[in-house]
Amino acid sequence: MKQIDFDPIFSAAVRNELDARVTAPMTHIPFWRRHLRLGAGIFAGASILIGGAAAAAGLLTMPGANEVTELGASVVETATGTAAVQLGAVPDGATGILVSLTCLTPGTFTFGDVR
Amino acid sequence: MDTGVVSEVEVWTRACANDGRAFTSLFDTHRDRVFRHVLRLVDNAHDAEEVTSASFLELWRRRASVVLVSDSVLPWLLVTAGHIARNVSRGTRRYRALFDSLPRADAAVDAEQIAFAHFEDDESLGYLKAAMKMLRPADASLVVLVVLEDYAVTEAATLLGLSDGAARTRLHRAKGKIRQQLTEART
Repeated sequence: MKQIDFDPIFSAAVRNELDARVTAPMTHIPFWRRHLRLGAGIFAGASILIGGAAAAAGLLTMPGANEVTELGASVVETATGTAAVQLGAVPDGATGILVSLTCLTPGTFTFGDVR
Repeated sequence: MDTGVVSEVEVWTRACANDGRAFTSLFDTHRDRVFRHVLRLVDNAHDAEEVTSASFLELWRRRASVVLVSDSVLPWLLVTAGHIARNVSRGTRRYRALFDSLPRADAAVDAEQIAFAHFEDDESLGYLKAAMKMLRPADASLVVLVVLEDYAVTEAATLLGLSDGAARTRLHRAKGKIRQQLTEART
């Protein structure tokens, strides 16, 4: 039977991605960008987009509004109480994150690490 | 005496300390073994590559809870790959944007490989795939580790969080189900 080999180009790309994720200099990224510690309260569907201020087609296109370009995949987490949301490697050119929280029940949440 | 041979435990420890070269050496060491395992579970090489890659990305993402068996991450990778392969689209959803952005070899070559895979796919392998999907995830993982990969039942039980006795009982029942499935399929 003919042996099926792992696509060498795809493999090399995955290998590079793994290397980048593992060696990502965590100290260069503000803590709160990677870990949003959410206090008491029950929420769900917190979606986080990593974006930059680059032009092109933006998510916010209202006149006068900042143009936001999504550079990374959105991360959706559902949690109760304190939670750490892993955002993964920071895409090139990313300058900030967009956080959206949807509460399932009444409660509060805090960003203890944001100053 | 220093033999110069670095154990996988040491490599894993270095990888967890953000040593990219150590982590990629694990990828180099285990990629093909995981890939061949996944090929038994999914329908084409393209899916097998993505499931294999997702397993290594999960290995890094969930590094704090990874359990080494026989001083190796391979059993954890095989079990995780098995879980992802049970529902490829759901299991790889987290990395869909990444996979879609990565370069691949010529699509025509890939299509040829897929065509060969289907053409030469042994009929009994198809029955085995169906039987494995019928098992509960933990039972399928037991079969993979003990029957296909020759790990001891005790080692597999440790990884899956089962007692030795429970693992043996579940493995016995899982083998019986597979046997029955294969018998029914061939008659």
